Amino acid sequence: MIRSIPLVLALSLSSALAWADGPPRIEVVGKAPVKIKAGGTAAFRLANTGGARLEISEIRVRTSEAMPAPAGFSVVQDEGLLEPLEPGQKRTVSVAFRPSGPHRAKQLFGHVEILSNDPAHRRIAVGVVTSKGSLLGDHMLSCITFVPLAGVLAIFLLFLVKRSSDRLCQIIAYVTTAISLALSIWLVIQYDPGFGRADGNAGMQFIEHSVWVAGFNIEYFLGVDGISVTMVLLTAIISFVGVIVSTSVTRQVPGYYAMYLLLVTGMFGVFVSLDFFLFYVFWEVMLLPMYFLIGIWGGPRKEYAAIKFFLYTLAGSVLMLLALILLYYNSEPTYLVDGRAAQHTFSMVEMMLNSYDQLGLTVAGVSMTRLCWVFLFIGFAIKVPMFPFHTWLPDAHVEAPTAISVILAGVLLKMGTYGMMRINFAILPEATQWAASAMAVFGVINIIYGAFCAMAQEDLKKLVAYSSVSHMGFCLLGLSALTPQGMNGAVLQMFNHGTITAMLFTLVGVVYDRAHTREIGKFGGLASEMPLYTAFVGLAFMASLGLPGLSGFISEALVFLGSFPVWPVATIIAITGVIITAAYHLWALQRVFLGKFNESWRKSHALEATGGKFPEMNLRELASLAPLAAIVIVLGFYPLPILNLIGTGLEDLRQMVVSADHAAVARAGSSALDLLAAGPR
Amino acid sequence: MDPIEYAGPIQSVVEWKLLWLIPALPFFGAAWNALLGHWGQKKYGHAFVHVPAVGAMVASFVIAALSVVELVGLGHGDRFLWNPVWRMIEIGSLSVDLSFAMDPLSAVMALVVTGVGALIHVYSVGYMHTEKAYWRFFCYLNLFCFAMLLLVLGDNFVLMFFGWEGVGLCSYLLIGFWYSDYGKASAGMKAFVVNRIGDFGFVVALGLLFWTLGGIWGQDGYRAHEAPRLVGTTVVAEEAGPAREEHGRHGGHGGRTGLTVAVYPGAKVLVDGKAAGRSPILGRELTSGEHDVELVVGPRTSYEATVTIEEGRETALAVVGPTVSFRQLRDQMVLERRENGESTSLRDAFANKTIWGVGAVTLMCLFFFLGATGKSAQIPLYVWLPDAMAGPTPVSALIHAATMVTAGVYMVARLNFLFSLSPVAMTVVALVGSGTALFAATIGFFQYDIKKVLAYSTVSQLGFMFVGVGVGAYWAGIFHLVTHAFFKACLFLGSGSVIHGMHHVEHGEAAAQDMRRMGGLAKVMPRTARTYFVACMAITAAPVPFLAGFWSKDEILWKAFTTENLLVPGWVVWGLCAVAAGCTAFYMWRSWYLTFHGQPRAEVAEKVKESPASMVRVLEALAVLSIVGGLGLVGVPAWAGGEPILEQFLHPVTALSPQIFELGHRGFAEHHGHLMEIGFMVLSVVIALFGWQLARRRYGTDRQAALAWEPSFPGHRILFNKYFVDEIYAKTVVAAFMQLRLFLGQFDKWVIDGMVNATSWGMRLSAWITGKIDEAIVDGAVNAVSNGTLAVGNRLRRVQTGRIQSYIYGIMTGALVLAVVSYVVL
Repeated sequence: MIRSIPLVLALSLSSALAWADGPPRIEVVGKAPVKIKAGGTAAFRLANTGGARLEISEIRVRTSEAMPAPAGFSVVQDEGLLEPLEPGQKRTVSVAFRPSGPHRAKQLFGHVEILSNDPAHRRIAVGVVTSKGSLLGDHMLSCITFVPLAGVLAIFLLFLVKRSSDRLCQIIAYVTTAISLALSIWLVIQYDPGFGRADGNAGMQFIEHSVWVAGFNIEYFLGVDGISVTMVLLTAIISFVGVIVSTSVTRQVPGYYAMYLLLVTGMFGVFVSLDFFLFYVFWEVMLLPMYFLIGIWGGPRKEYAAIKFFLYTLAGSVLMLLALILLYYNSEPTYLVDGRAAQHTFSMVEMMLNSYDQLGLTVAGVSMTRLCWVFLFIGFAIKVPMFPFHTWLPDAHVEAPTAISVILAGVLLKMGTYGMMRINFAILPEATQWAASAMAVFGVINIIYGAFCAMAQEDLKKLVAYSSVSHMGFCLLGLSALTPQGMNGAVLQMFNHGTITAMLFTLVGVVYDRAHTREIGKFGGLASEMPLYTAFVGLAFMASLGLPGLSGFISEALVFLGSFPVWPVATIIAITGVIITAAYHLWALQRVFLGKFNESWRKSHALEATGGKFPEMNLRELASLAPLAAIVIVLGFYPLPILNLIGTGLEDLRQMVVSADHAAVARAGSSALDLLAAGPR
Repeated sequence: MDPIEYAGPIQSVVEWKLLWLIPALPFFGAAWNALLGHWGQKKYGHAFVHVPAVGAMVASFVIAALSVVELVGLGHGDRFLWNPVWRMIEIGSLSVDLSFAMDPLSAVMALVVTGVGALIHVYSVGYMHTEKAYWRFFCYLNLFCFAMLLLVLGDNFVLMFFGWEGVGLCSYLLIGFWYSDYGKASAGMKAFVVNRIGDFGFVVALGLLFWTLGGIWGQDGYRAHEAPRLVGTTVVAEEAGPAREEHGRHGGHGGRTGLTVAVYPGAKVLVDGKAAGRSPILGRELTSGEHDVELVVGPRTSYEATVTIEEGRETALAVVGPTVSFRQLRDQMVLERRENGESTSLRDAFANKTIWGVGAVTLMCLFFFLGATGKSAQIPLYVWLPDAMAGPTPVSALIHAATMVTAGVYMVARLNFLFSLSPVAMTVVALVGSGTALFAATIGFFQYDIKKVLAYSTVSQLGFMFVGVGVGAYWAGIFHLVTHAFFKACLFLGSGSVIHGMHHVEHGEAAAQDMRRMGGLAKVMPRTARTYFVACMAITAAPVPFLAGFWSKDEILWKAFTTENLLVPGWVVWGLCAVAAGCTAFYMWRSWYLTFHGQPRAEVAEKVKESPASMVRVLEALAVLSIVGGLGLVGVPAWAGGEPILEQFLHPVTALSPQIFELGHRGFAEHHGHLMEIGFMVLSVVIALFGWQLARRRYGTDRQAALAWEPSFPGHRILFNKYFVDEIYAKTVVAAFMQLRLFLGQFDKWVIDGMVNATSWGMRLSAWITGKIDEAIVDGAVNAVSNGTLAVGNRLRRVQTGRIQSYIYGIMTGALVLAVVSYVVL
């Protein structure tokens, strides 16, 4: 760059001498980015506003091997397209987007590059994006994300005009999350599971791309691939179920739902953002309502738990921010979506193209990429939560109201592993390979340690919380293996754990609502009191302990199978976890539900209203659990649809990590089993 | 360079679309009762519950029988019915289908499970009649049959494991059926957790197998984690029976020119770029020559192969590489890889693979066997089975005697070609089996609970089965499995009938099962007694041999004696088994004499009645099977110049093992001759008669004296207390786990969370210190500056006097100071 400056100066000087009326000046006339319809054409106009003849050497679609433009996106080669432009002259350039191939891009974000002799702008770009002209056609992901936010506004307006009522707020929450759920299902139906990086758009679908803060190169960039579309679906399901569960909240209901819906928006936002800054904003947006939801509507030690959660996550966020800044300032120049040149970029898909590792930068003697990787990883590991950063989780769960526990375990934890994949893995592949073994070790610690801790708990909710620690360990182990089976298992485990653990927390909430305690030792023989409830707990526990035929097994088995060739010893240790997991689940089931009913409950205050009886689950509770149970059973026997959904995007990601250099091949080759012959494609 | 080719006689396949119904019908039965049973039982009575449940089982049996008829009609090499339903997983090299297969081994198992299962369902209608949660019982029982059929009919490891853990779940649910009894529920939990230790072995073994398979293909640049390679290979039916031709209409396809695609069911098949339907495609006629075949299996996944079709030769696609399918695994054991005219056997490459210095095959077989010891209650994981008797007696008969506990034996037989590759693993299987057979038999000596006796007997008999499969006589192990299912179910149901009757005089459950309180029941329950007597003869071969158990046990003993497959001499295993057989005769006849022999107590004679017909008929049916089941499956014994029917039938499944044995110069000693075999048969009858006589002498005359004698028997205490194994486990493994969980729980609370809280305290402390510093020093400095300014101002005010002299002094002093300073400095 620097070396070329004298050349540029010399060139401009010589040109200045040659151009009496000033140099040629290329300009794009009209609105940027250019909007195009799939299957159609669009045009923009080039003008020479300078004082000399403008030679155009090339007009082409910006594409590269690493990130090809979608097939069918081209510049229409009109006659005279590359003729020189005299000063003041204009020319229309047509671009066409006629998607082709087996997996057609439905959207497009791309650039047309124009190379000319304009000394100031030898290469300019014109952004081209698709537009269907309909709200849902162009802004599907925004709708999913912001419909809950509209609910927040509605609740706030009602409050302003003093028409707010608990019932109304609840209805708003139902309606908005239901819309998001319906749109998410539609999204999944529309999603082309075969569409990958090779088909263009960095493998992303449902893209929304526009400039947000031009001064800082921040874009509003949304899109989903297989990993995120699965997470969007999970978020939509869990947040809708969460509203049903929320009925038990009776204090300050409007505030609760406002916070809840804000949280939902934050969660969706994290999963659909493709701009790192936007991602970070959503990440933080999610944090604050969570703090209030635990801190205001929580249990006896709510302040402690809320502050612990908040500070812990914030500490992670700070590290993430540091890494974000480091990555931003070391990114290579590119264009914003409208074609504006940008010195640096926040766009994750652009960051993926940068080879940070080859910059060779160090911070205090430590490789910059590794430092970034560790910062980001800790930020995400806190969320997972990974040993030893997990202790906020039991506290937060125990104090949080049921619905918030459901959200926390069902969705929030997955953001940790999602972030690792989307950012650590995709942007820093070399460092990922470097750290994979450590990830595996932490994964195994999570599995075993979490299981033992769960076994030690007396509080049913804490037990479930620690089981989450244990189960998220499978995700870490699966991801660290970098094999298709392991990584697919990890993502499927994220989905399955989300649904199973949502069931578990809802079920704990059901008994807590009746007994006002969760202490395992105080129950006993509940099966004869609440048979239906017991059946659901049995199902959820069995799913959680990985019983074949239920969804949890598939993902755990995939993780084991996938990590086995890479980390054989670690995997065998991890598999012993299935024994401990079975032990603590069945033991809890035993103590709470089996045996003789603890008759002292007959005279308890908690059951006064029902005459000393535990009332069976009501319809509302059933409605929150039945769909989750159905998902758990169906995916147990037929996980293929979800695996197909995940597959392509994940395989692209895996290839990017594995082929970043040949270290993966070497490492796999020297592993004890000498089995996995990994290699670049 | 020539292209790499693969060839070998892979399994031919016949599609049979009824297979899925065999497990599905019990599943529907279970769903019926799970969803409607509670409501329906109240509204319409018991028939609402048991008609669909029993009906599903009977229908399932009928379909299984139909399938077996179909199977038998095919030529030997073609006996493989296949029914893919849907694909479950498709990731890289891992492809898992929900698909069922019936080969002769599965056929035997399916008939046992549905047949005995249906009988026990019928029996339960009577036995559980007074039970309030009648619907729940039948729901679990149906669910069990579903899982068990999944286990035996699943054509891959994953489905087998679905069934494997599914039966474990049902066992857990049924042991703890009367869950309000904490002890019973605990027994269920124990069963589940102990089984999980075995399941750990199963999963590890599967991982080892899967990736070792990937490894053997690594040599030609094959990437293990990616999709397996498709290759074209010949299908050779071993024996093209005459039935082959007529059954061509079902898809039997051996020997025809054409292409068979029996992999990736459901995948779109393109031949030379043209759509040719969906897999499976069996025996599609194609012109000779090379063809490109493409299988589109997923949104982005498709596999290609080039196959050469030759006239008169059937070519099939085979999957080469890591697989979870039994058939594809077996196929790879017979495939030859040809490159540059050189031919290498994949089986050798596979068998020579080592991991951590140990043979990979040995290691995986040992891990698989660990799984088997859990499910089939062998040392060291047998401890759950005696406790499992807490469940209702029909459950003990069905699950803990006839079917579920034999899953381990089935697995070893299913994987016979793997175990045959590893003499170490086979030795371990045989020794553990014979050890368990003797060990459990001795515990059976002095138990008083009739069901406990039968439980230890089951553990012991399972040991015999493992000896059978362990010494390489796979068919003998399966034979004993079948006969054992008949007579042990008969014994258990007989004991159930007794307990049912005893409940009229005894109220506690322990009392109703205590043989000391029985005696003379033959007088009041003649039909039950007769069947129990027959079953006792069947299991012990004394006093009358030639019943079912005699044939199967004798076959195992003979094979154990003549085996050359082990690292220890065959007579060691034979010796342990022979002693165990004698013990069996003793404790079984002891149970007979204590229960049925002599005169009943007055109370018993008065109140105890024969059980209802539905129960007794089932007993009689099983008794008949216990009589004819042995010779019926043998036909003409080998020593009489025949070939056992069951051995012939199972031959296609175990055909690979003799080849493997031969390569390693192993097999069964042939030089002993038929006379010696007959001699051994006589010897085992003598041993059995000895055991029977011991029991008859003691218990057949004076039961009170015999019971009084028992404690004086040397070692009675240790035998009665089951070698204290439960206590040892509780003090060691269980205690260690419990301590570890407490330690880690506290560690998490105080150390890990302690660090977090310490950080927060530290931050608050530093904030406090900073606050103090701020107050004292920073703010202090500001204040000091302001105060100082004021103070200086105050002082300086005095200087400003207005008198000229003072100013002049001041100026002069200043000038002087400046002069001195400038002088010094310059």
